[in-house]
Amino acid sequence: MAAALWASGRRILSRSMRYHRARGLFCGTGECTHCFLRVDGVPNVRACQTSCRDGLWAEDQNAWPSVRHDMLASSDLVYRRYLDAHRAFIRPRFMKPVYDRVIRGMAGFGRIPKSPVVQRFDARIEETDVLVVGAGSAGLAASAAAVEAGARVLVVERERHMGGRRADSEAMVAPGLEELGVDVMTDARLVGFYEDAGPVVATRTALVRIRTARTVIATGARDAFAVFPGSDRAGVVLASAALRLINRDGVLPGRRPVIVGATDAGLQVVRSLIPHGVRPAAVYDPRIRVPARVARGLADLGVAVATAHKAERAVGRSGFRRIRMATPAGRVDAEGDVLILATGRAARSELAQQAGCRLAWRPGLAFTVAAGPDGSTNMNAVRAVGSVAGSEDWDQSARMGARAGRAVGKEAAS
Amino acid sequence: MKAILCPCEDITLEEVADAIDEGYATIEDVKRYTGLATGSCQGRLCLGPCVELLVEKTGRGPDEIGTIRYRPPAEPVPLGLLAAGPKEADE
Repeated sequence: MAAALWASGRRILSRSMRYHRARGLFCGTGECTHCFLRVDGVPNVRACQTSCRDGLWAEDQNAWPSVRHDMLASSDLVYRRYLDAHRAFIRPRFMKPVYDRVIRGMAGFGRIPKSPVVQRFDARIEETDVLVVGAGSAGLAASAAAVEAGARVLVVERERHMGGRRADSEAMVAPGLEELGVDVMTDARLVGFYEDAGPVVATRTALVRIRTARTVIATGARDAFAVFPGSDRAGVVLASAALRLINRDGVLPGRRPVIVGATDAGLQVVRSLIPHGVRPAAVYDPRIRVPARVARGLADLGVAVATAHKAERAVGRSGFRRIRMATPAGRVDAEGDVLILATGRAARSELAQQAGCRLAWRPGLAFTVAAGPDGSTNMNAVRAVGSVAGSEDWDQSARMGARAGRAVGKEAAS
Repeated sequence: MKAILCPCEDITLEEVADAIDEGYATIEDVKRYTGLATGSCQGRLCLGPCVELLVEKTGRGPDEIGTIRYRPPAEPVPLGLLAAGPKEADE
């Protein structure tokens, strides 16, 4: 839905909680709040995680009269710095109940459905020797190696497709896991490692408890959020959303994209755009020096790196129009029809932390799992592989996954 | 112009910086005082930038600052799905 709406030219999909700021497609991976719509009466449905179908009814929410022209956005102007919730609306004291009533009326996200949403869910238990969480470069390699070593393997993937970030970026042939004898659940989310129930998976229709002795966490990394004025607005997207628009949905994010971040992600975006006849003149980066690998890759594609360009603010009304950057030589504006952020990555280590793994900060990847080259962690039964464990490229992730897979496969088979 | 640090709850960079200056200088303090990381994405966007701000303002290292405690469910799930969980008697 988010891709279809983008293709139709619509950038503003929702309004934010407090200041009713214009938001739209942002991460493309179902991890942020920017594309919430009311779908078939159900509020807070992520447009980027919902497929279009005949008869689907989508409305905007949290705006008056509409998300495109929302009068409530005046709060963004009234509170120029921010609304200090600890000090505002408490005086005079006798007015507080009135304030509370008004604020409660305006607060919240979406309205509950008018009629009950009837959906029946099933519950079941699955048993396996090795649970692999995530079917990206690392998870695929781990699954294949573990099953080869003689273990029963179940891989759980939250997307409908396998291959992870690599498959969003380029044509890749994912190994036929089912042919190898790996059990695969796609469109299935690990919702937590519960103390009593262990790992629990939610599919669209069932709650599945997994009984396993060993777990390999290969949840990857997401694109990091870059914080500057306007970086949250509609028309600004993370590299992950741009890559999916181009390579999965066949939608060009823009004809004049502005790309910030001379990173592997930035390079992947440029690489994906060029076959469609879009070649940005430059990729901007706040750093003085960027990784040589990325600079070389961009130069080979005829794209320059503009270093020491620090984003100051992104502007636009119904979409992105312009970004202002500070450089040693003064201010520079770059105009375009989409702003793509590729400034860094952040490991998806939330689940690993729940599983008891120790985390360690790595520049460019935020909190990763502290893991050895074979994925071993402080937890005996849990390994972590790929970018969630600090790997910086797909080959390294696959090697790490294979080592971990072999090790747990042998343990399980013996 | 506001720089939004936590988009789910609309918490600005300045707001978090002020909270740190007031003495709410650990990650859990910032979370509880400002509401950062308590929205629909549960910190997926804002935690990294928040840690970087704490590093900058307090001089402590990111590992010392640490991160918030992530509790299940890690993904939004319909209540009906959780209610469908197998009962003790089924096992």
